[in-house]
Amino acid sequence: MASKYIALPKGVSEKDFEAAVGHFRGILGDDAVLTSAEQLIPYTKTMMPVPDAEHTPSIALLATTVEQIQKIVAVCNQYKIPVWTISTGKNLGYGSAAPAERGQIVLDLKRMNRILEVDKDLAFALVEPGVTYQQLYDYIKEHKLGLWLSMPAPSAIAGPVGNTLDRGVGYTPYGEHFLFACGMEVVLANGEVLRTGMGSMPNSNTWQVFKWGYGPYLDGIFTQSNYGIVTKFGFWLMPEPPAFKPFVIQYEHEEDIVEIVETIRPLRISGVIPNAVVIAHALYEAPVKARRGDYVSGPGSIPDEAVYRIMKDHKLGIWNVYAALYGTQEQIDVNWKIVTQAFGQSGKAKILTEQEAANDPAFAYRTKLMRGEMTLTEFSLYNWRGGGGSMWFAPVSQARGSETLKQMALTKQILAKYGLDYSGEFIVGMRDMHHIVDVLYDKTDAEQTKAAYQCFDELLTEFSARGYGIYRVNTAFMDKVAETYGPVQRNIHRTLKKALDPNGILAPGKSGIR
Amino acid sequence: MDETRRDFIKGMFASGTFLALGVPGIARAASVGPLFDSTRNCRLLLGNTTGAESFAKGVQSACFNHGSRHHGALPVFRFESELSTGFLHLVDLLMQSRNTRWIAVMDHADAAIFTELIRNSAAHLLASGSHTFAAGDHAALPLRHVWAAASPAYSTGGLLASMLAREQYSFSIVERFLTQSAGESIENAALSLPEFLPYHRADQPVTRLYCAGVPLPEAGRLLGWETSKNQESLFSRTIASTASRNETAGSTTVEYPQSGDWVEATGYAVAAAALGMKINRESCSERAFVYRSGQGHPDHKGLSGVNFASFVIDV
Repeated sequence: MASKYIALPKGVSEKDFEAAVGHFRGILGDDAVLTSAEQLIPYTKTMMPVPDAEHTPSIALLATTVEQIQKIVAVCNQYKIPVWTISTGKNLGYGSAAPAERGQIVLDLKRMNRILEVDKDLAFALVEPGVTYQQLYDYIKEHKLGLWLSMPAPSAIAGPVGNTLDRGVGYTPYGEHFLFACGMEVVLANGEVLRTGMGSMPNSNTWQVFKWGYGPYLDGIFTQSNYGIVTKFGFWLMPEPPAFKPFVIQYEHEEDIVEIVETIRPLRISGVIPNAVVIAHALYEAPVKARRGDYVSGPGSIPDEAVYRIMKDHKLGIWNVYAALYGTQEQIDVNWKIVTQAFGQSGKAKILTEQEAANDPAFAYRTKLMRGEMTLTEFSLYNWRGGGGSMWFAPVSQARGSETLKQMALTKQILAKYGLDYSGEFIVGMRDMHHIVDVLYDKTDAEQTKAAYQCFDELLTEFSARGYGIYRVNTAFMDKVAETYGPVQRNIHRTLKKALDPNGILAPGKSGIR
Repeated sequence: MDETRRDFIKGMFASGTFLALGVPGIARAASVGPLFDSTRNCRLLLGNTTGAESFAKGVQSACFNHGSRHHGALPVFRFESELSTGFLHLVDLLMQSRNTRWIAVMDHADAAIFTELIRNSAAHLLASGSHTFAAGDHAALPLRHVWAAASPAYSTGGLLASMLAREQYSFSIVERFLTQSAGESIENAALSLPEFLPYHRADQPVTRLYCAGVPLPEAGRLLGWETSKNQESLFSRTIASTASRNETAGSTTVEYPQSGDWVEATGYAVAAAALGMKINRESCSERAFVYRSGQGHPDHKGLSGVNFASFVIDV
């Protein structure tokens, strides 16, 4: 007899699952327990090159309170049901809202969307997991708080909790988001509620201003992990600067990445350029202005000749460096002089100010990201090939020119082997670079989908063999990446898991941890 | 809601961006009932994508042929800017359109955002499709459709396969259903698919495959259904074709219009299913049609290299 559920958790009988669902209905009410296929399809959609059936949830639960989550966790423990928690579920290209494994229930916290506090003077926010960047942006504007957000490219529809917990980045001076996290509330697998840092102390008013508390610092173990369910999250906001000067610097040759990085690194480390600078390849920016099909058809990766035509037609560099200066006008004037001198030395750089690049759509959306304004323009990447396939390949590199060139060349070579394009960028930290490549493919094409899977697998293998670690990955490849960090780290992860979640109910498979 | 957004919605409903597409381009065909006869409204949402006009033409034609008088031509709403810059307007539009079935078409960038908006708005997603005509003549089957649907009750593939085969396109259509049930016992209109050899796989997941002009092993490879076993051992020939089974059940044979434009045909098939036309429903988890034309590629009307996504949702 066919099941009444679209999937069941592994090892759980339908009878037990039915009993658990009855408990969930009692806790949440019928409307907050999603069981129909029509309600659940959006939770099955991923952009990964594996069958969506492998990531189909059994049901989804919409909780609104910490107490409900505590009760849900108790039921999951009783019936050994795995629960995959999402905040806003916008981890597109990393698995979206779908669980790591078929049959897991999705705990969707989108309705826990209260902005609990935004302190104008101390410049911090405390929010629930369902709060979106758009919501917080509107709140700050409405209350004229003079604070800026830092958010990733899917800004408006994503949220700070999910992005930071997955150690995502943004483009302002606060772009390394976890650096600016301060205090979490976490429901543990045993139902206890932990407040990290100063939050553990009754009557403390320093939860969102002092990270460390006393004893071992715990916040980190609740990022990219499955040790608890974060229900409140504090983070710091950037005071709106009196002046802001965005600019773009274009280079014409791929080898110029060496000069770019060598020039930027000292400016970043010294704080002359304070924000998370982006060095975007032409093919990362091209979808904002052009379609792939206008330049090339047929199999294989796009040839360099076509890339140069795109650059010429759409006024792009092969590398496009987006950065900004923040502060008083006097500070900006001084730093601008330092920046232009540094980049002007070789004569290769073309420096464009906001006035000179004002009508450029790529510059416009990059500028928005660098000043914490909402934009979804980067989604145009999904039109480059069409077909809905996307995976983010995200190795970390030293902020050293020779390293970035090596990574770029290796990535491009492996992508080309499978007929895929290099749509890459480097996001510059102070000493590191997040090398971000969108592996785009057409999911309607079975052959290309298979190639994309093999390509991604090879990228992971080759990069890890050279000591290049991946900082974040989609749910189909989490085990493989976890393996690349070696047995000792994996064992520690497992030991923590066993101690904190002995029944293994919280998001099994996240970061390869079970 | 702020005034700007309220005005925007008001404007849309008051016909500021309303578009009556007029008499459809596809010739009228025989209707088949019972069809979409609920009190639910049905509307068409057009994104800024190549082929949107053709798709809309097909939708209106299906509505003309198979919709009830209550519906007439479907009201059309466009989002002028891409979703990436105006998604809040669309959220409001959806939220204010209770008891409405939306047929939507858009590019893949907007589709990624739209899927998330559907999930957030608690709308019901009945079916979502991805449609591609590969540019150039290199692809074995240049025209490809992939659907995810809640159940076979929202199946589009049978009708579309029939339309495209008649126009000699080489294509693949894959439908994946979250639940296998085709719904309550219904009058199931039959299509004539004489060229197709039907196969089925009875073990889980229940899969049906229709091949024409392509041997079974190659069809499996083209669909990415390769396994360690060969296709012959996995699939069995279905003894009675869908058409003949339906004929014995006494259902009506459906007629459908002719269109040499694959995007228009896609719009027609999507709308026919959305309006409740019950064609070739079969209980299964997955179904595919693979067709290779013996006549080479037909005139593509400039629609090769085009790809887009479609949705049918209930709000």
